[in-house]
Amino acid sequence: MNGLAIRTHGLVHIYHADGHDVAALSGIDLDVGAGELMGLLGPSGSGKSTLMSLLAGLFRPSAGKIFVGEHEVSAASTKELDRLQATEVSLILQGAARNLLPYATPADNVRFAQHAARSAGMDLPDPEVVLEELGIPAVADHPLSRLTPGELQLVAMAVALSTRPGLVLADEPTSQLDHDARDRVLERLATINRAHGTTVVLVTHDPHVAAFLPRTVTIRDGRIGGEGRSGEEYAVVTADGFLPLPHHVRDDLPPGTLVRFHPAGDRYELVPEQRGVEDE
Amino acid sequence: MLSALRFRAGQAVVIALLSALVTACAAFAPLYDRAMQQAAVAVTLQEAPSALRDLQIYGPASDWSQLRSTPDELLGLIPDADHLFHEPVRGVSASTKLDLDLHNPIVGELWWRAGQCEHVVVTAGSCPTESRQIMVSENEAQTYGLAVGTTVKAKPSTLVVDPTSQEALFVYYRIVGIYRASDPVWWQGLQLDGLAGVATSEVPRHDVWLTDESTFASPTPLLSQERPWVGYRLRTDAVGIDDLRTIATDLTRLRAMLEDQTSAGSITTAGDDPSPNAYTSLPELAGQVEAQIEQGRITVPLLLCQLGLLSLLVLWLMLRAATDQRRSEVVVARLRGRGSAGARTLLMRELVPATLLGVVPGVVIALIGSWLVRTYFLPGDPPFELPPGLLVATLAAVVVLVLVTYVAVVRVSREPLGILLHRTTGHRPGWRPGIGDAIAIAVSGAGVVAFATGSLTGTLALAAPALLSVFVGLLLGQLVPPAAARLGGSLLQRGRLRAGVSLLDASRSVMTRRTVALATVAAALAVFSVCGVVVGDRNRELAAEQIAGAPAVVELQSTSLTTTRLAAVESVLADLDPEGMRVTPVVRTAPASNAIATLAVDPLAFGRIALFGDDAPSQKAWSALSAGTARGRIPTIATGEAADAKADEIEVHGVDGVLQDATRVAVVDRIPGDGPNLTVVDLATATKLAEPDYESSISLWFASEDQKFIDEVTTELAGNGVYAADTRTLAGVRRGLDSSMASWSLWLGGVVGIAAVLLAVVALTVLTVTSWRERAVDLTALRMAGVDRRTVARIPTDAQLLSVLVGVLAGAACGVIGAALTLPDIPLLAMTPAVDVTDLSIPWPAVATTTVGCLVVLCAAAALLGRSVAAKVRYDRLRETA
Repeated sequence: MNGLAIRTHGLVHIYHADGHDVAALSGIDLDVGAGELMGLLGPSGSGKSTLMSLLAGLFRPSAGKIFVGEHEVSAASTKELDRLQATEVSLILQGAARNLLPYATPADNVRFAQHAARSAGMDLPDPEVVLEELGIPAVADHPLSRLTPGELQLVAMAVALSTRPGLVLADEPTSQLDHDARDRVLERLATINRAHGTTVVLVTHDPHVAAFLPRTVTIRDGRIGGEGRSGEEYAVVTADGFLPLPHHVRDDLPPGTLVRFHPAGDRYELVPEQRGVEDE
Repeated sequence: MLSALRFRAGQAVVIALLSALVTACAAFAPLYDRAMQQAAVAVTLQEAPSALRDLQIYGPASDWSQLRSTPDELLGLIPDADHLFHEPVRGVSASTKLDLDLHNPIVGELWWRAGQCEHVVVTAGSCPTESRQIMVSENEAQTYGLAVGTTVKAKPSTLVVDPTSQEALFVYYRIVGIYRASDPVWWQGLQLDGLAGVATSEVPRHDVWLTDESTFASPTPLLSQERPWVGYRLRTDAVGIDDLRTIATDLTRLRAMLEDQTSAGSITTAGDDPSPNAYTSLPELAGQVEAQIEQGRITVPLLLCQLGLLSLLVLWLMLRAATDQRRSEVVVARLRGRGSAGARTLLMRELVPATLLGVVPGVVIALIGSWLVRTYFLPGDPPFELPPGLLVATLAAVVVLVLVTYVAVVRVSREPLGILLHRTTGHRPGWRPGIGDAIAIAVSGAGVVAFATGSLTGTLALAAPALLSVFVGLLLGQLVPPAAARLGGSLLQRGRLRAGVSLLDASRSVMTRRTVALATVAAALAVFSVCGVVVGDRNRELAAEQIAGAPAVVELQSTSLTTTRLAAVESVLADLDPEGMRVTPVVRTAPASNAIATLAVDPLAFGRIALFGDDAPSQKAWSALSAGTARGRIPTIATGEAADAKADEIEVHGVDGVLQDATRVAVVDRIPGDGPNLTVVDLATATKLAEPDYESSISLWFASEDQKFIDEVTTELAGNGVYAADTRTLAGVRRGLDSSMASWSLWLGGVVGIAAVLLAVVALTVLTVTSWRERAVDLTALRMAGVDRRTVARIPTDAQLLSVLVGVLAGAACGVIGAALTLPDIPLLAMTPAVDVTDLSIPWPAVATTTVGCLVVLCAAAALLGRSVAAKVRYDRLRETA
């Protein structure tokens, strides 16, 4: 399957907890091209995992639309979502073990993951082939308890990739891994991305992982706070015209600062007002 | 599937054990019921006199039909029953009138039975081998001066063809032997001797003459009432409940057939019952057994269903915990597009085998249980059987187990994926029943309301105690946490840290709700079962006292004139017990079966010896009874219809059976040892007014079951020509009442009560094992917050004890209410007694003891489990939630 593009428009998600409403996402407009390898960055509680869950169809957004390929995930029925998750969209939860049946071997886990897709008529590779692609054919029949954390994460990836999905969403796939295992996981994700054109979106805190990715989107306070492309940091203008400041200039421009935009040829200059001088 | 089972092997074993218990409850019911049925058959048949349980078929009287028939013609009337009876005994009987040239002829019977001489002791001469040779009894030989070689003459039938012939006037019999009766069972109730010299209605009797078969053939003329006979002795050890039902039906059919023959005119019906008939009480005995079986159908399901319900509740809790543990696997299935149906299948494929693993062990447990009760508890040596109900019950258990598993699984599998991804479900102290709890509360509550308003009747009503306890348990389980939270907060504000935190801990833990519900149901079942056992025991004792009348009662033979016998009795008792402290005579007069009977007693001695219990007349009433007649009226104490009369001037039967004027000096609820309608008079006064005659019977009431003294009295009486006919004892009557399905099924309550408490302990353990990690993390957080180690260590124990205390007290109340509601519908006795002495009052000491027992056991378990949770508190636990 070719990669699936992602498009969100005005995505808002509000959690209701203990009588309070908390806005986890406040108007996310995001476009991810088919076959892209992209990372979601941001501090804890910024809304990255919520965005991943919405993209995977785990729950519906409070407002806004989500398109994955031709499917409007935000309006899909439970049955359509089940089919989508069985064949086209795979989510890898943070913590490899949470993605696996604890009593089944890696091969059995892959087989289990492929069951719904096979029932839908998909022609899928054997579990051994999938594990071979992830570089772990030797552990196919090992109990999970005997695998290293890196192997366990690769098995979780094998399970997610076993249905040849168009979109893989991975939540912190490299957390709790040593450097070698981390690099191995990233290398395999990139290989799959290249080989099958699978769109891969992963959440990470790790700057090394972010540096590895061709594109990163930073989520901050439920909004897109910036974007990095090939090592370059950009601020992203939102659909309603807001421009989040990059983190490193926030100290210089504290909340309440008045600024002016001055066009300067093909550029804009951002000029803060000297409030104290004006008053004098 | 196997790998999944192996992965959580311990949990699978616990689930299998619980399902084994559920299955065992279901499977044990038909096994126990069947064993009780067989025991009831054995006891009923063994205790019935042989004359009642055996079958005797008489052919038509030959002298009426003028056709001599043989016993062989009676064989084969009962098809396919050979295995139930010993080899049939053929015989012929006739009436005789011995003529000793006295004023009156002496009446009696002449018998031949095949093999008869092997069942008497021939003390002189030999067994008759030729026509008109006879053996007479020792008693008769002595009474009438007969000896071997004597020839006696007797009148044959009154219906003779030629009344002028000598043979028509007399038949001459030669005595060739003297016998002594033995082996009464073989003779099937035929009283061979003890009649000679005794008069009935002033007609003298002779004992049974035994003759040869050839006597009942030519040239002997047709004898009066000459009838062929076949006797079938029942093999009590070979008759089971199915055989009894079959033979009872066959015998009823045979009776109907013989009656049809009689009414169709093929057999003459004139005269002294000359028609053929089948004499047996087997159909009636079968009816008694069926009545007991009906009783068992109430009590056994009542108790076992409630234990099964408790087991099911525990299994349900276990399965909920198991499915909660598998939330991550449900997530895996849902993430891979398996949907809620796929997730359900995943859980069912893992949990249903674990649940069904317990079915076979459950059946085995039931079989072992039934073997134990058959071997060590039930009388009559019931056989090992696999009744059809076992298969039905096992299949029902399987269906219920699968359904419970499904209900437990479907809850988790249907949860939205977003919620499933949270590690645990949130538990808040407020009123937040889940759908399952809400349904259970609504259903059980509706059941309780239906029962209270009388809409729930019949077998369904028996579920009322269980429904009540489930309703109260679940409701309290919802109410206790918010109450504990409020009280805990209040205590914390007042600085009472430990109590406050313990209550808050209890309010947060899901275990509180489940423990309260479990303890309520278990305690309710234990208290209810004990109430059933104790009330049943009490009522059997009361009924035994009413039926027996006294610790021992000896009925005297009624074959001699009562005046003579009474004089002999009074003489013997005056010698052996002059103060009347150990034994007292009672003369009973009842001219007709429906008449109000009169007991003539020695008031002081009778008041001491008769088992009145709390219903005894006052001392003043007894004194008034012996005060003698006033204006010709005899003082009397009355009960039943005689007590209901408006005026105190009534009529009572005198000891001669004639009505006489009486004055009622007291009324009582009951008189022990007799029926509901009775008057009691003073024996001395009554015998002054009239002489007792054959309408009256005499019995001796003993103050204790001192067999030596009873033997001494009866031997002395026998020396005076008064013989004991029958002895009943309080212990014997009690044994009889205890040997009934009503009693056996109630005793099951004792086992159920103990099992309920043990099951609750198992459930508490299961709940602790499945929730200790979450609680240990909470407690560790408290340690981090600065609460000292000792206080933290006591918190889980205190929280558990609170739940157990509330649950047990509420359960005890439910058990008492359930008993009060249901006991009136539970059969306590095999048969309704003539005098109702039922006492269904709640046995408070037993209730208190059971409640304390439940508290001790469950609190000890809760304390130990709480300590084990406290021991798990370590700082590194907090990392487990990261």
